[in-house]
Amino acid sequence: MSDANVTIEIQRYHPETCPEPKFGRFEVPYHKEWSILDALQYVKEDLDGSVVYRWSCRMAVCGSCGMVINGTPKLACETFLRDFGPGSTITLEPLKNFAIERDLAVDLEDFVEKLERVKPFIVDAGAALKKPKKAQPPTTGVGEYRQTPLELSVFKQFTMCINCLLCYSACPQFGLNPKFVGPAALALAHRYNADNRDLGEEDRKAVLNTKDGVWSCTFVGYCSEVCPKHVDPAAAIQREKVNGMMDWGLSKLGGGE
Amino acid sequence: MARQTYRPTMPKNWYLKNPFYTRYMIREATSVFVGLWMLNLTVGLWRLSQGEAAWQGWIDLQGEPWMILFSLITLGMAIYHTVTWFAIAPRAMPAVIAGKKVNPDLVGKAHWAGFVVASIVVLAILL
Repeated sequence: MSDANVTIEIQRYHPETCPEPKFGRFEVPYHKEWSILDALQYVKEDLDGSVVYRWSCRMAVCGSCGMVINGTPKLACETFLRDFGPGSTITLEPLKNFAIERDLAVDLEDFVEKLERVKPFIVDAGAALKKPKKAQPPTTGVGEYRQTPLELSVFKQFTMCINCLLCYSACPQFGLNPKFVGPAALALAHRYNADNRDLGEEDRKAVLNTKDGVWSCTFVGYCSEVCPKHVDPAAAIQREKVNGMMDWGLSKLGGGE
Repeated sequence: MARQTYRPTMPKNWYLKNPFYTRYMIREATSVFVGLWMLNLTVGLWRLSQGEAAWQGWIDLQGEPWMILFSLITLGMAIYHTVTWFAIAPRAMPAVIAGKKVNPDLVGKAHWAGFVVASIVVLAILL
């Protein structure tokens, strides 16, 4: 390989030794098949073992290596040195809008708590707040629950989320209001609300139909731009706004369900 | 030991840091111009109710160069809002309506069709 290099600038933060974030510069050999994650492995193994970042699968499935690369939220494993070329300078920052633990690792606890609140799983009749009027549809207990292709198509894209949180980094509303439940959690709430096996819509309303729920979203739409799995969380949130509005309208008419 | 995390603050000019945010903020800002112009129109209706002289005063005001400039800016803003909103509105549609899968392309085209029909109706009344 040629002896061309790239310069990797990593935002460093260590509470004990580097309490104010500042950039550290590393010279990394240029290989066109190297991802940013490969370059980080090189830095950690050969240049500075104290660099902190998260990774696991290195194939855009686990969602661990999300970071801000040259200002854009991306997965480090599917962004390559060849995207920038030999001799370039690449800046790596932790995901925006989160508290930073160390270097490129951010605090995920707040997100996990929000994710739990939207009940991202199929709520069956036994657990649902509002019992179904009709007999409960068949569950896995009695055999297969068959869905039509149409029923599947309604929510399938929203199942693709890998919780990489690039969307939270992209969302200025989350930056301005940290209480905002945010794109990924709301997209997953929609994924289950839109699933005809699920009966938990009523359970999720208290989280969704609030100021910090879907109504904190102003359809900036950048979340959907940066999503590596084309989940389109912005679309999911707008659809939940429509549902919330219908629900509110029906309740004013004294009807509803 | 409690973890010591660092919470960065969002810069006040965050919307200038990314062209995507800037385009979004322009779309939001269009509402200010459209709102002001609607206020102008409301004043016009009020002047109309006060008789011919008052109405003519309002009409003359519309011909002032600064008012024409303001109207042109508002027109540009309204067009910008229309184009950007029509581009994203189809994604806000429910996935299925009355048992049929909604085609986002068709929804986008329906928006434009509605726009054309409304424009023809308005122009037919004016001309």
